[in-house]
Amino acid sequence: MGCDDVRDLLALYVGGECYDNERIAVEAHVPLCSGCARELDQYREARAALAELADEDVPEKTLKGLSTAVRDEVFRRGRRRVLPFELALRCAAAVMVGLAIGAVAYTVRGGPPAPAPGAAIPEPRAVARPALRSVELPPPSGEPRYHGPRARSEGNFYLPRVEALPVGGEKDF
Amino acid sequence: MPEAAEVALLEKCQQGREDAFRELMDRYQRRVYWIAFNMLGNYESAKEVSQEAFIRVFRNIGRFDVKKNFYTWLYQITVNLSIDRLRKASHAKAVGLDGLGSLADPDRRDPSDAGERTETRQRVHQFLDRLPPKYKAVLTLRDIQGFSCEEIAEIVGCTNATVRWRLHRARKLFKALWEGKGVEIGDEGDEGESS
Repeated sequence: MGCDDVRDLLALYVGGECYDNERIAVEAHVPLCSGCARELDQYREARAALAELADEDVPEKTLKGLSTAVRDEVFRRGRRRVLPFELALRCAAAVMVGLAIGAVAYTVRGGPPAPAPGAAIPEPRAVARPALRSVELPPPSGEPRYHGPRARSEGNFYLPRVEALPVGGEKDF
Repeated sequence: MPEAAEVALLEKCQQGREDAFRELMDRYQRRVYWIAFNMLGNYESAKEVSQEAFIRVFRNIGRFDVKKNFYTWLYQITVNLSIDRLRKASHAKAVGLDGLGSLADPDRRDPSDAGERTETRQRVHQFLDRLPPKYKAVLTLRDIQGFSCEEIAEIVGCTNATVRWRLHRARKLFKALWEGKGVEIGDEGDEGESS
């Protein structure tokens, strides 16, 4: 294995992540190559600098503040506040579900409930309607403008009577 | 497989017991906070992401299968929230929203911490901030938090081979930055990964 291949492995060798065959190749080459040995030392120095961060301690007040804040959020304010709009939506959804259930139940039952057997079936109510009355036009004032057959009313004062129409179908306007 | 004690604790959490939640938080909050902090480089953001991660976990604890590893799920949420925040910050920087762009800025860290941080740590954070989020996640989980490749694959939701590939790219980039070399940091596409 040449220098290029070994130098590519040094980044993993320094942390012990090489496979066995790779580790053997590096350990065989490095003692014989000052360039690769120097590179390996640089990797070790950088890794040692990183490891210094592992010794740092966390201030107690930081930890105490952290656990208090988490407890407050999870336990004291554990119940999510429901916004008014959200509450309205929930009520509307509940009403709609109730209506839907009612509609389904009404449909399944087949309309209004049947009367009890033996009970008299009530007559349909007679609906009072106003009587039709004939409408008479007031007599014209002055000279009549229309010389044709005058319509007689009996509910329909726009159309002339059939016997008043000209025989040839001519209209006298 | 999780321990029996943790399974019992998770079942109590699923019943809504506040004391069980408190115990679970005490177990994991330090790790969660540091994962978020190493990803984001900012105390305030790390605290917000940690808080959000625990809230999400507790709100969905009823759906969690207690036979699975709880920490994988928790850290997955933490990493994903951190990556989302980094992407938003990166987008904000790109469109010139200065307020949001300072999320990952090491100079905006808690000023009371200035005396405690060594120059090395500041440089590390500065270079970590320049990595694409996916590479930053695997580097943080492996070289800072000490997770195995299998655990990282579960947390970030990819294959072991993808984790190796990302680690390879991340360490190469980080080393180049550490040495002061100008590097072209492209997108975080996984082309070149072996299946």
